[in-house]
Amino acid sequence: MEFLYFNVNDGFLEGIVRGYKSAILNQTNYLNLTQCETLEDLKLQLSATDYGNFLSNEPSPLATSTIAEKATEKLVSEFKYVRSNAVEPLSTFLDYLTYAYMIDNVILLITGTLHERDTHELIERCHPLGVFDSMAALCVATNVAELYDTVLIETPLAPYFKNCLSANDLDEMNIEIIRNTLYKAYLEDFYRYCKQLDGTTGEIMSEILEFEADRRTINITINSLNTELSRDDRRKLFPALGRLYPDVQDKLLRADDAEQVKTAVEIWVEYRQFFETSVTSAETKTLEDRFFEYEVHLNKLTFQQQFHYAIFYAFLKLKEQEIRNVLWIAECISQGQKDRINNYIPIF
Amino acid sequence: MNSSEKLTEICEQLDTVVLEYLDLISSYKEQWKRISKELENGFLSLAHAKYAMGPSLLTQHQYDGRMKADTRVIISENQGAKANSFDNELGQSNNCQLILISGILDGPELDMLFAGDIAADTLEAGGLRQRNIKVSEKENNINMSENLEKHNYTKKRSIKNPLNWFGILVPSSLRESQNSFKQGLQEMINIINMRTKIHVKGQEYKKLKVEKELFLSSYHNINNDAIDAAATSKQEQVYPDASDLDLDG
Repeated sequence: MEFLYFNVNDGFLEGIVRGYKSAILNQTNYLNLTQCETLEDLKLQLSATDYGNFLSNEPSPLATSTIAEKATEKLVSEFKYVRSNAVEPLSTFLDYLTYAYMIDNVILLITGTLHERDTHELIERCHPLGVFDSMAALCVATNVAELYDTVLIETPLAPYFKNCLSANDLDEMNIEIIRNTLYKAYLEDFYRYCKQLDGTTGEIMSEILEFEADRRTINITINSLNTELSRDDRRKLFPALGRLYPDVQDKLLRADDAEQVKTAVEIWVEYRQFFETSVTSAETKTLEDRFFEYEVHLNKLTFQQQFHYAIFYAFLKLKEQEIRNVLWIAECISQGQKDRINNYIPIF
Repeated sequence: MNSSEKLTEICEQLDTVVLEYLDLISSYKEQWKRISKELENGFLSLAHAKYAMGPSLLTQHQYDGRMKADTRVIISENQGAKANSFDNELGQSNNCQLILISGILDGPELDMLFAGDIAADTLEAGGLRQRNIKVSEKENNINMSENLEKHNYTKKRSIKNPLNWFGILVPSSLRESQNSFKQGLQEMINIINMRTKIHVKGQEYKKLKVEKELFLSSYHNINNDAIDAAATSKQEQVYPDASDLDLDG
């Protein structure tokens, strides 16, 4: 019955987000971008899209990282606009979206402290969607327990820390484990929350989050082959949701090479295609590319239905994919290696 | 005759040197192509890793402030060749060999290197047998994060892989990128060594050329003297002195 009451609180914002969604670059725009010869051309082409003159104040020569930063700034301002106009329960939903960035920022600050970097520099590099008060205090921490007691207990991330409060010193392996444990807890929490919400949101978001969990499981398995991550640690990092849970996850725990991973995951038809090696060499897609593709497909589908919150999630993710695409095209142009320039994922 | 044999010998040596020089030049060009390929692949894989991980996770801000060079270059004198003959005007020896070594050398190993007890090439495969090694530390600032090898020497010192600055579970593109850059580094050292060899060959060629000229001019002088001696007696009266010529009319 959500269609009766949804528009009272959230109709305006759904309209705004659908407007933002129609400004996402389409295939024609991408064709124009790939034909640019220099980054200045790219800037010109982007000024004809919804991005407008976002790069107009940048000194030339333009760097690809500047393009990504400015595009992200634009996305952040759009998101903040939506967030500031939201009421419950949409506001909690949108807050959940920001927790992922908070986790990234926390890890960035801890890693930076470990690497003896300047704290102010690090704070500037944090993702703006993930800032919280008392971030600067993270820079004085030396172990997790201290971190938790002094800083994180007041943040929304506090409940995610209960599994990583061992007294280990912070080194790169432990930080990676902390990052993934936090993300696993966040994903499970978000999943639970979505299930509590009304019908359509719960349905669509669970599908998306299950795919996200499966993707993380596969990535963790593949990237941890030939590293020092032990089997036990690997098990602790797998999220407890998704199609691969629990049977295929057990098989993945025992996998030692990419072939075994492939055989384990192949029983799910949708995931079988990820492991197929493509025939043409010019379009070699890596596993990550295929994951991005499937994610874009799921996110696009959310816009087919109305009166649910999944479009807010999808909007954020699709814009991020767009920024990644533009960055890839910019890198190919600046390096003069245009043979793989078409490896971006077209959205609309 | 003795002198014509000597002349043939010099000419043959010259020919060999020229052929070797041209061979070196062509392999130098090949090497450059290989280096460009490796570096291109390295940069493209890096861009792909940025795509997969998100651009903010792969920046200079992730560098470790405590980083130390892990791959070093040793510049050594090449004792095998005639080092003294090929010094340039500044008296520096051009005949140096560069070898890439990995792993951090401390106290005892460094002393052993200086004393020549262990050859540099036992630290890494390849390279000529060296003595009197002068260690020169060259910190590679470009792509420092990508150049590192695991310490496989006798001392078990765990050298940190800079790949881990970006996390333990990094995408495969980043690992590929690191491998390409390492390979490129090795190739760059090879090309520097090749350049030294080319230079040495060039100098050898010049030296042989000078020798040949000297030999030819002394050979002609001897012959000319003999001819002149025979001719002057006959031609003294026939050819007037140049100063007698009337240049005006």
